[in-house]
Amino acid sequence: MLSSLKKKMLPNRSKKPTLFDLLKKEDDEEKTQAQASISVLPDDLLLMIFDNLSMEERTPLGTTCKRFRELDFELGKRKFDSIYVNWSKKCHHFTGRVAGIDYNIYGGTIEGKVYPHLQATRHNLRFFRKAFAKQLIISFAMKLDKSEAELISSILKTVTFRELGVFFEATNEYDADVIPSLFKHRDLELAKVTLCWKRSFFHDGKRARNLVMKLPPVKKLQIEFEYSDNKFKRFLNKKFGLFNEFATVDGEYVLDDATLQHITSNTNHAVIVGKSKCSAQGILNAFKIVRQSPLEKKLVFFFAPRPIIEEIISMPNLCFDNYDWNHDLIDRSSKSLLAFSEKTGAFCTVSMGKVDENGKMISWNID
Amino acid sequence: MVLITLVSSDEQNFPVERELLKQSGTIETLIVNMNLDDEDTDAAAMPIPLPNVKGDVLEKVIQWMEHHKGDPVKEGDNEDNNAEIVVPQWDDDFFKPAMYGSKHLELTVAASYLDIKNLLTLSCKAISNTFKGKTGPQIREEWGVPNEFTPEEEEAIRKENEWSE
Repeated sequence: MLSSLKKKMLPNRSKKPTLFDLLKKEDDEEKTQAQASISVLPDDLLLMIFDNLSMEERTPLGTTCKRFRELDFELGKRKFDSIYVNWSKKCHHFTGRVAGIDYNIYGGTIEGKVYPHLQATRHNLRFFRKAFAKQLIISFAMKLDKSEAELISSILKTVTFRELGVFFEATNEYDADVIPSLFKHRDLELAKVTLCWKRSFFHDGKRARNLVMKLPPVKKLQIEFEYSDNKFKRFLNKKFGLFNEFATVDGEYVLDDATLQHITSNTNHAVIVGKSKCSAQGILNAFKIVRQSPLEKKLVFFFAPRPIIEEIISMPNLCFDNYDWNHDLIDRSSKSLLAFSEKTGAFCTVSMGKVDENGKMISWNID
Repeated sequence: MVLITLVSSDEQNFPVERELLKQSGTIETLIVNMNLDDEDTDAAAMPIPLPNVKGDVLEKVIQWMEHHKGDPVKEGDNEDNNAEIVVPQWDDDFFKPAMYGSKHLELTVAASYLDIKNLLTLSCKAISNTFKGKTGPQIREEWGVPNEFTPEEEEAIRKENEWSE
């Protein structure tokens, strides 16, 4: 990462030439009919000129002169493989990675060196201007204050992405502002979104649900709400990893009837790993959305409390096929399947989605 | 036909048809502020000074506006679809004799100062077209940009471009 830091050490911009300079220069040159220097153009005009060029056509600007190089950089619209945002107590940085090269803005302590806090400077705010990233990965490892949330939102304001991953590694207050700001003015219908509340931290389920309710239509959604309400378990999880979070129905949960309905309506493929508090009617309502969906491929997978599933299975008007503890309900007219299977603990898994002619759930590729 | 007189920085007078000047946001504002459109104002007696534009450049600007009289002006922020703009043949021929020269650059600066959107867009587009397919050193040579990179810097940048290709 640091090898590329010098890239951000750009030269001071040359002073804008005044028209007077321009005219004076012209007077000198007229005698010899010599060529003019394009360097006399002010920044805003050079930016207009550069903006007419494609990314590839802009490549030589970097080798023309230092001012062109910086303006090209400021113009933005760069394409990255990934942009990583990491916000921890120790340091905070934005890294744009393309073809193995990192472009960074950062503050805090990095590799033993202390840098000033990341500020809303013109340079920082333009760093990712109109950039495109295949993946935008954000990791919050500390509680954000309001100004930090605003800074992150403004740096990422015009970034577009195909995949968004957000990892909450701390109890968070202002994530509710940052993440929805990433949904605004963007078309995410083909995007994949991952929201992950890491175990070993306390997470407020209501806050998580509020965020989920703000999700726009996306193609794929993955939610992990691996919350543990027990301090000791959180410690064990942190130390040793896996711990069965689904032993009881108590505790914070990420899914309720409203969020289930929202997710089912707005995604083609959703996997929600986390506790839920859905009602039988809520689950049947969501299944209705699946049945009515014109999509050929659709899948929603989540966990539901076992008593609720038992309640649905025993409904006299629903005829489930069952074997062992798997219960399937196929609606042939809409090629839809509602399936429950037993899971250890207090929850069952629920899959609802579209099936092929043989009644098999249409499988999904990860992409 | 109402004529309005523009005065260049070198104090040349250019009587210009009122209608043409609608293309220039800057002059239009001046006309309104000076009440030149009022019937009881003697527009001919009130020349508009343009201390930032030289006579020979202003002449070109007026020539361009005459050709483009009545063209629609695209409103708003069009920075995202500049890539599709094609410089029409007439404009290409108009810019060409001055291309790579200070005249063209002055014309571009004047278009920006006078806020003539279409002229600015096309003029910039004509300049950017000269960049296409060129290397950094070629652009430098054609547009009179001094080389400020040390050989080490050049080497470092060259490597970086290898990465990004």
